[in-house]
Amino acid sequence: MSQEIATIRVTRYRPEKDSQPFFQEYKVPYRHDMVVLDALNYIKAELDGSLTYRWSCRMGVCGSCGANIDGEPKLTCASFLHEFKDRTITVEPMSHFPVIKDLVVDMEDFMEKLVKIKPWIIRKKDSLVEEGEYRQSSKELDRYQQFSSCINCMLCYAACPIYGLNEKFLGPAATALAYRYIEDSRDQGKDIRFPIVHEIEGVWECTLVGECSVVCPKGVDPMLAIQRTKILGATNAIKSILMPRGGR
Amino acid sequence: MKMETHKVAKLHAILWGIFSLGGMIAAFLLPVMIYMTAIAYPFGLWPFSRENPACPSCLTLVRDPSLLVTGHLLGALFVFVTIAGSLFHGIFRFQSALTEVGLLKYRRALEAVGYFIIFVGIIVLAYYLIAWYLNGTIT
Ligand code: SF4
Ligand code: FES
Repeated sequence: MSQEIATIRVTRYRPEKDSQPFFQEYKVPYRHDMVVLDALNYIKAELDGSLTYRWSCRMGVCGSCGANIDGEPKLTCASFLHEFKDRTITVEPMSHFPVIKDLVVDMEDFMEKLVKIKPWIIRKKDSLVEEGEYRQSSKELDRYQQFSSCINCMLCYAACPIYGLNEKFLGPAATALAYRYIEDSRDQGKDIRFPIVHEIEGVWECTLVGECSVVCPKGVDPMLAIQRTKILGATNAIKSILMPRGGR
Repeated sequence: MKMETHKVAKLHAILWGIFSLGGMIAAFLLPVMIYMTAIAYPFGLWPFSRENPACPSCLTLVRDPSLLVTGHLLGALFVFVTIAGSLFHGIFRFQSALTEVGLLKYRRALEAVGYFIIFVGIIVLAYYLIAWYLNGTIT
């Protein structure tokens, strides 16, 4: 029986050699249980050791293997070859990020944004260990739990046309994470985070395209986080006019 | 250590609040208004007719949709809120759509044009409604 073959077209770009990116096509032996990352690993191991891409866990947890697969931002480790027509697949680096090499993009901007929103619990005064844990009910947990499932894969940024137009936009994942802490009953850092998310290039740039929530592989709904953060911003602004002393 | 400074976009937050409220108003009230003026009025289904106390069996048909506002404060308010809310929502959304197609660098100009249209539209609307409400006619 002849071996079935998948055709993988991959963007190649070596800034030190190439003036611009180009596609290179590889033929890979196909198995039904193969994901795009397996195909890339096959290429690297058997056909072309110079192909460069990121990956680590191979199970949709580390968030490092994102790429544009047939034009859509996806995790290569979670995209089966059999999902694609004719088993001919185009793999490109995620949109809107500078390319370092082949499929590897520069994450610097995203990392800065993540740190900017202070993704940790802020307390006005830390309690002593002897005083015990900060308790939380399951209802309180429900308010933010989905937003804590983010794996920082940046697919939502690759899908967001507004981020593509303006890289200063705080963007989906960073806002979802900020909102995760804003809604956490143990956190007391609203006064610190609100000014960050309510800058013009915080949430207000978002025009509700919604692709961020469509492409998220972990079921996070960044668009919802952005909308809720906008409601908080509008409420605070109106309160500060009606109650200049009491409102924020 | 470098101090972080962030400029909260308070005015934008308020305008966004009006935009989203306008959207809700448009979604709820616009269909009612369209029904009343485009279906009920031309087909004589909704009280553009009045009863004559001298002759309870006779109905006087008054074919004039401005009856919706003439002499009725609530009617005038309904029309104002529906049209002004929809207008504000529509223009704000249109600006967003222009941003999405890549006209970000013209944003300041687009915003100026957008808000000009909104405010002129709202002032003209208020003028007509007040005239209708007070006189029953527009001079
Ligand atoms: S919100 Fe979803 S798509 Fe965006 S970085 Fe997190 S996991 Fe990835
Ligand atoms: S390799 Fe870790 S998420 Fe794909």
